[in-house]
Amino acid sequence: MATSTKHDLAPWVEKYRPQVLSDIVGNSNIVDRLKVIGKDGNVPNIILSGPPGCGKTTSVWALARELLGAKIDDAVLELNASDERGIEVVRNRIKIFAQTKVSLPPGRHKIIILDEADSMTEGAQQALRRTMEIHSKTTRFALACNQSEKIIEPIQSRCALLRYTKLTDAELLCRVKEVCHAENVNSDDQGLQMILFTAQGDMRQALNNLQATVSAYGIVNMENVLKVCDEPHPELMIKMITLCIEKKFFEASQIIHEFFRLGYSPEDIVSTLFRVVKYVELPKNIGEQVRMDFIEKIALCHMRIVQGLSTKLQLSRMVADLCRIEV
Amino acid sequence: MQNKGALYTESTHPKVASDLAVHNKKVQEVRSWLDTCFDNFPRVLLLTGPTGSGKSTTVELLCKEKGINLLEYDEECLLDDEINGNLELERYLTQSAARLLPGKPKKSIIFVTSLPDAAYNNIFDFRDRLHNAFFDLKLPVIFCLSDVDSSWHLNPNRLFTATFLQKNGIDRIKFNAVAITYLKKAVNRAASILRLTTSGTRIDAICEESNGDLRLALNMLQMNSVGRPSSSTCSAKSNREETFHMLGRILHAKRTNGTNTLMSSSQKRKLIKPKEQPKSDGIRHPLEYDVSDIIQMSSMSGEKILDFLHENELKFCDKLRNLRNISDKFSLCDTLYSDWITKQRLPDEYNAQISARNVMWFNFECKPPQWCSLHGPLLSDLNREIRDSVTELRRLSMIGDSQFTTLTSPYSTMISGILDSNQITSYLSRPMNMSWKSGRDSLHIQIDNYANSIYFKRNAEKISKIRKEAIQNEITEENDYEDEKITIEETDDEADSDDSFENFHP
Repeated sequence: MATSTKHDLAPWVEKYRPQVLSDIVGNSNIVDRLKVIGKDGNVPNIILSGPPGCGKTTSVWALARELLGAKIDDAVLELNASDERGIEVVRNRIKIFAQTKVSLPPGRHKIIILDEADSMTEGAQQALRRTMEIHSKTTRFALACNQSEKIIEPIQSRCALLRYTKLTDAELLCRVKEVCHAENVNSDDQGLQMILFTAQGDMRQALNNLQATVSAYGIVNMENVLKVCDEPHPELMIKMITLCIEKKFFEASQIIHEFFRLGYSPEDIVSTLFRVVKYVELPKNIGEQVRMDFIEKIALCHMRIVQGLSTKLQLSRMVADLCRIEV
Repeated sequence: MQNKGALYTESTHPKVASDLAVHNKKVQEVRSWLDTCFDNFPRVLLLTGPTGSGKSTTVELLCKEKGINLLEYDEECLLDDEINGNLELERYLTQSAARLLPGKPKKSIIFVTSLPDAAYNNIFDFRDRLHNAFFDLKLPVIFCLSDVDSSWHLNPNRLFTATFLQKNGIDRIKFNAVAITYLKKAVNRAASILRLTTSGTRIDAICEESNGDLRLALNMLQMNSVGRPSSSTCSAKSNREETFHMLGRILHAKRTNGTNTLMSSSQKRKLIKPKEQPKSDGIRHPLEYDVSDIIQMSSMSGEKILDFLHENELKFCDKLRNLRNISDKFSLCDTLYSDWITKQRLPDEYNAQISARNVMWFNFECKPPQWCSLHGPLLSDLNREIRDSVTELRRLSMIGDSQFTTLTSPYSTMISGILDSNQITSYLSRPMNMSWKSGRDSLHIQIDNYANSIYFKRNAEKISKIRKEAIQNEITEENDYEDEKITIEETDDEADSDDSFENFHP
């Protein structure tokens, strides 16, 4: 009983984090590669780079589990951005861990996982370089980062680079549905669609939003998801776009003014609009060109907002621009 | 199987110099430096180059070949933060000889592959201490440092400026990235040593991907060949293929046939084009692939997509009007991200979306050549070239030398007829930092130091050669010239400067 209540409180991201490589969704070519390595051992030093929530850390831990089995507690050191990771830590903690003896079968190494390695200082990375080289017989490094460019070249040169990509909506949906099923979540299609829309290829965010919606309202439908995630309502956006196509300027600007009145920042409004325009079903007779021109106008408006002109006037102007587009 | 559990970079370490993936000329340069570094006075070498270009491997191999003992400086010997890393390095450089010589009759060289953190944080202290250390150096020193282009903070060029190198008489050898032919040879060699069954095309792909970094190439090889050969391809390679594939999709802008049956592109081209072209004119059927999907799958940044499309669009576009429209949109994309702040905050995807959508729209019914290879953006090549020449320029003595225009250059042109002007330049910019500000006493000390300095001894040979040539030419007045300008340069103590110059006469 106690364990089950504990589980109920755990974030679903943690609760449903894949434990083995074969459970990881997306980036199949990399994960397949890791599976082979998980069986045969001798993992090189690796850098995993990719956007947040695409399974970098999960892959590393799953790999470590497959490589080390029961020894995982002794043979893995994880340091993430919340740990102090200055040059002293590299000198002391990492080095001491690298020097400790753990008896492992041949072809298996201790693994040091450095999460969010791009936030390490250059000095610390430079110090890491040497440790990596000296202890390569017993210890391998796995660095997870969002941008591999922020890792200094000497480290990059000592690692094999694995580039993760954002998860597709289908991959996300598959996992989100599994979780819904396991948690007996009451959900409808539109609600799940909205979860995907707000997550934008980030599994962590998708599961977090799902859990937040469930714990707040119990039912996952479009309204609840939007309330939880506090995003401008995409339905209204779609309505606004159709009004623009029909050249009904006043009605369209009323909608955007309402968004503004509700307290959404112009930047939020515009970027949501952009996301909506990319996939919205337009009437048959209106083709790609309109969508293309819409994106162009939105981009121009977004640029002005970013440059500091985040006023209602700019939003109105954008609506006027959208209305003027020849259909 | 004997290599189970080792990194490929280690288990395939070259054993003889012929296995090195380094250009013979560079190996020869290092070899001849090693031959001369023990003559008279211990010399100092700065060896730089991109990562994985074989710098330290070359040194290690050649030293083994010549029976020279390498004393590797290990920064880790200091764990205490209180100790100044630069001081530690200075001590190491000057004292290691005393520690080792009695036991070992072998020739030794100090090999520094990583500098203490303090060196990067306090470069002036670092330079001072090195300068001091060079005065009583007992053993030759090799600094072997990787070029770090991404970070100026860690860049060896920041620590070892041209002036500093010249002032201390440090030799410099610069390695280049490993050429692709060498790289392929080395990776194939490694594969054959390890009895890997990696296919040739995959090895080629790895080599191309690794940008002349042999260590990276071997790591990628390890990543892709551990275990049984499997059908899954190397991540880097497949990503790259995907990228070009996606770009092709954008540029070809294929459309569905109106009916839902999709035909392969070759069939379409052969069978349908001649007949259906006039009929389909004007009707744009829906695109075969969704633009957002393509962009997502290419996993490129918007900026890169724009660059690629801009580079390749001309080959696909057949109407001037369309090209004008597309170029217009390209330039719009460019203006969107014109200033730095906007670039930081505006989502990168606008670039990709606008350029891709426009290309796909206007490339409707274009007739690209049958075989059309996509090129990387020319602009990035040019930028790289510019960057290279800038770094090249920075190394020239005239940039590092603040007195170049006022003193060095005028004099070197005045006496250019007499001797090799380069040698005179290096003589004129010899280490003598004195000005009106430094007191008279310190001036004496500096001059004394200079007379005993290692630099002086190290360059004595060179200078005596210059002298000899001068005598051979039997030109005496020019020597007066030289004396004269030295007095101008020092502007303080003529007698001393003359003395110091006297020392040059062997």
